[in-house]
Amino acid sequence: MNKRGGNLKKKYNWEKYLKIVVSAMVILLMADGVLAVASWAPNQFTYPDRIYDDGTYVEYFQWFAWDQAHANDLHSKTGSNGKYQHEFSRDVDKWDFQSSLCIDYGWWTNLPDVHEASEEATYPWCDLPFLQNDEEAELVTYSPQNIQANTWYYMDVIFKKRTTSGTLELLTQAEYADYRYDFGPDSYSDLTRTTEVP
Amino acid sequence: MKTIFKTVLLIGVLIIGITAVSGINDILNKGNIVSQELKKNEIESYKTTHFKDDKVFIRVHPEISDGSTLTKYVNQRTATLKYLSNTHGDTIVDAVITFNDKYPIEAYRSFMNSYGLEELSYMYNSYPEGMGVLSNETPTKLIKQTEENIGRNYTDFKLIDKIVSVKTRIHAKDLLRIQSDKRVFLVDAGPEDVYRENSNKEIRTTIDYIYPVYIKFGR
Repeated sequence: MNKRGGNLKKKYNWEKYLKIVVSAMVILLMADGVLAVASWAPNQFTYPDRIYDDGTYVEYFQWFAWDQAHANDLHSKTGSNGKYQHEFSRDVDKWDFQSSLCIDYGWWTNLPDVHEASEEATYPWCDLPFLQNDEEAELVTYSPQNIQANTWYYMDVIFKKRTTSGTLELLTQAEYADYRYDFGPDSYSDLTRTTEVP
Repeated sequence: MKTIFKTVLLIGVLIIGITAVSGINDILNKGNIVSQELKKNEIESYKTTHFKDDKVFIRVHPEISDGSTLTKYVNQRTATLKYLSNTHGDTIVDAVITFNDKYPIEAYRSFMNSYGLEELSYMYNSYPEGMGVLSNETPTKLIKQTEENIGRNYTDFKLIDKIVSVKTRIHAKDLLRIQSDKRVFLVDAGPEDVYRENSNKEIRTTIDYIYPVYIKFGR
């Protein structure tokens, strides 16, 4: 086969694979995982990526971004005293985000003015180790006005495994409130929902 | 007979050792809760959970929205340090140290060693951007691998570039000495009231890091 023929074949294969990938993505989007987001939530995001797993600790990483319209809506809703929270929610009987004395195992982010989550400090199931509900690994920014449109932000969280049996649902979620010390959010928007093997 | 004595002694030592290691963590379970109380004032909200056997757990969430609130917070916390130093000198208390500046790991280790402190967790800045928290339990392998994974997106990336704050346990008699260290902005042992109200009890306290508000309002 001459050089030209080889290139044509490559191009044909590339288009074929692209179609397969796009079709698979559409099916995935429709079936499970990525959810329709609220007008103020990040509208671009990746699936949480398991970037570390040693059998005891597991680490997840997610990118997310707002386009101009979504960023504008977030800013108008939170005002100057509000907050934006980004969280990973999962079955707490499978993975812990905090040790028995509420010490976070670890997180990392480039969100502006970020704090340890405020909301959980007020719930009985959040501030002690024997949680009955699905625990949220959550970070909060008290300067949502400094969230820029078309900038990629990330959140990385470390969990400690309680068990490696069964499956669990990992939900990533955006929340806002118009007052930073409100106990609960004014609204929330699910971003991704995936089933994980602990 | 000697062997039996040694075996019994060994089992006894093991039981005492296990009890000492597990300590308060075993008491902090739902079945042992006696009461819970949520309090809120102008500088914080905090929750006190009383357990059987005079164990108390305090979860503190500072609420500092401007410079004057930060000043009040620091003044009240300084009063806590004085109270604890004067009345509970031999007690070991949970505290969050917020540094005046960002310290490279070597300087941070030097500070901790100089006071014989061990970290429960620490807050750090990354280079060129980002910040995070890691606990003393986090495996070194995880930190190294995370730096490699995330570093691919940056030039000269450093996950733990500077340390800005640490959660640790301190002998109450050392609190004021550490507070007066020029590298320290605040030693935060929590609200004075909880120590006054539970003076004969075993108290564990977890306080959120205040470094982000120090950066915003305190410098």
